[in-house]
Amino acid sequence: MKNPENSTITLYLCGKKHKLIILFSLLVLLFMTSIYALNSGSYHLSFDRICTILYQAMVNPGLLEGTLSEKIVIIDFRLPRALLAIFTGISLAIAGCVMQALLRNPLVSPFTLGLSSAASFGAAIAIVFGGMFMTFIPEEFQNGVIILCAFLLGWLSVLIIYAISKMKGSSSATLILAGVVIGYIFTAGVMILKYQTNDEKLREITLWLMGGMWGANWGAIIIIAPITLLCLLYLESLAWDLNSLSAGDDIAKNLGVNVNRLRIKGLFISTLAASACLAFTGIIGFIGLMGPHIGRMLIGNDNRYLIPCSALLGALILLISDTAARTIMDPVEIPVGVIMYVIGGIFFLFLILRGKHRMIT
Amino acid sequence: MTLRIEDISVRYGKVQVLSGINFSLAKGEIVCIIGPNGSGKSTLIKTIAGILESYSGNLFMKDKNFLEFSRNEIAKKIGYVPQEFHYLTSASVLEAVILGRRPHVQWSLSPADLNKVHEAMQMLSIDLMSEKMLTELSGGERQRVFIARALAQEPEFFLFDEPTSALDIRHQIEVFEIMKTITRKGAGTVLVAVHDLNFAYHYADRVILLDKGKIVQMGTAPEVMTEENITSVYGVPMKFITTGKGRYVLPDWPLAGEKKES
Repeated sequence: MKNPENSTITLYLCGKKHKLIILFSLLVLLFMTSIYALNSGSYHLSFDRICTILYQAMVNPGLLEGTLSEKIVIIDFRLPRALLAIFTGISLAIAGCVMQALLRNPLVSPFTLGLSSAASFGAAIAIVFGGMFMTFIPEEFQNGVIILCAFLLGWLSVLIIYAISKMKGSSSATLILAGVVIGYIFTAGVMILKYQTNDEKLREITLWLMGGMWGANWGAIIIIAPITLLCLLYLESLAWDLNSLSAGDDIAKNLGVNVNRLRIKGLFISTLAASACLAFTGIIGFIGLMGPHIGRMLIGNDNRYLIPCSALLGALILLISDTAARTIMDPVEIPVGVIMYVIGGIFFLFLILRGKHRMIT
Repeated sequence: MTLRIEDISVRYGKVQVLSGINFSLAKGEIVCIIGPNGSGKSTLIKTIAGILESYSGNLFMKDKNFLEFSRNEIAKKIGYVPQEFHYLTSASVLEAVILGRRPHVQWSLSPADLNKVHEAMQMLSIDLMSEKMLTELSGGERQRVFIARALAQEPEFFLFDEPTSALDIRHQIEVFEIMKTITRKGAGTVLVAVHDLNFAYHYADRVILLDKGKIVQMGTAPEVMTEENITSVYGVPMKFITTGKGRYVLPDWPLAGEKKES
């Protein structure tokens, strides 16, 4: 380095160190919360025992046969559930973070863009009409039809909003209004399906819409984990382009960014991540807003750090909420979607009352 | 290195905004584009900056067609400073300037990248306000930040799109002095769209007079900025006055149609 006294470099390096410390702290916190989540419930185990079970499950699963009940509780129930909460939290938070950067609007999220309503409609179609063609599909792939329908409809909603923003401009008001309107249209579709279907399917749709980790099993994790991690890595690789976009389309183009292609691929990948998880968990709001907003308060606007920070925060918030959802009224379980509405509502009320509303406008 | 613009034409729908534009930029000069509103100044700047992609004609850099360069390669050669920034409302000065390194970096900034950022900030005297938010700055200070961002990009050609139109006279002079410094220090060549004819007259090595998307005349300021040319293109009578410090162009008050005071 030419000049070690250089204040700009010192400032940048201090900021970078600070950001890395925050990311590492969040990672440690997530690990500790995961252990707590694995131990929460009516069946208690010591920290050492949980670590031993996890280690044995990874290294030598045969050794676990002697402790079948522990294995069932930790490995078959709580671990996939905790992982589903973590991956869903990551997906929704990075989707929100990237959508906000792509559309330069801090109020955009998978939820406000109508993606959740559209994915609900897709899932509801699969649940209600799936029976007609499910007979031709092997049982292990039937969940895939719901995922596919939720994903396709979710992506359709984002395309509609993008088309509207191209025609009418991408002002906050236009996008939010477009998202709300599209959300209403797809919600109406869900209501029609709920109205005309039978009791069994109505219950299935209602449960799906409440949002929860009931669908947690290793089959779901095997699908969601690679999708989430690949989407996270890909979106992280777009961080510089997203940063450039924050200076406006013209500057981003002059900096070498293909803005239209970036918007399409960014929206596609973030929608893929969010819809794949929503298909398993149902509607879980506010993660896509809370993760990036808290992330910005902690780490700033640089998407290189903000995307992983949002991911960790999203995972942490959803894991804590899900653990609370299943233990707070034990043995009765509350849908985690309900908890998220309460936490999210209080969080944004806090931002407004503390005069931090500039961050959400 | 030279930048050659050959037969560039641009259409917005059915409206022909630029037709058959030809000129080239040589190293280290300031070239001012003047012309009334709607004459195509901003369109021309944006086309060369790679912002407008649908144009006909050819752009050459070092005798190589733009189409043969990647977006990143063009970004390393051409920097663009817009009239005003409406974005980056929650960015600090340092964050805004660092954006200029985007064409040069993969993910992490090297010490060399950071030195370039620091040099750019020092040149624009904004290195002591690194942590300030852009919203806390005056219009002139913000414009210096955006020029520093373009400098951090290390381009050979700087394109300014009416950079002084929102600034007071002190800051207008400041911005033109910065352009002069950029060219005189050999940091690059400047092409600037400008409304103020006096600034064009005093700072330009060459002037391009645009009207209705076509070049009316191109050359040194005294050659192009004649009373006849300016009056005919702007549609109002203009006159030049000469003082000990140079020539200045002014509207010829009272304007045509008004009564002269006795």
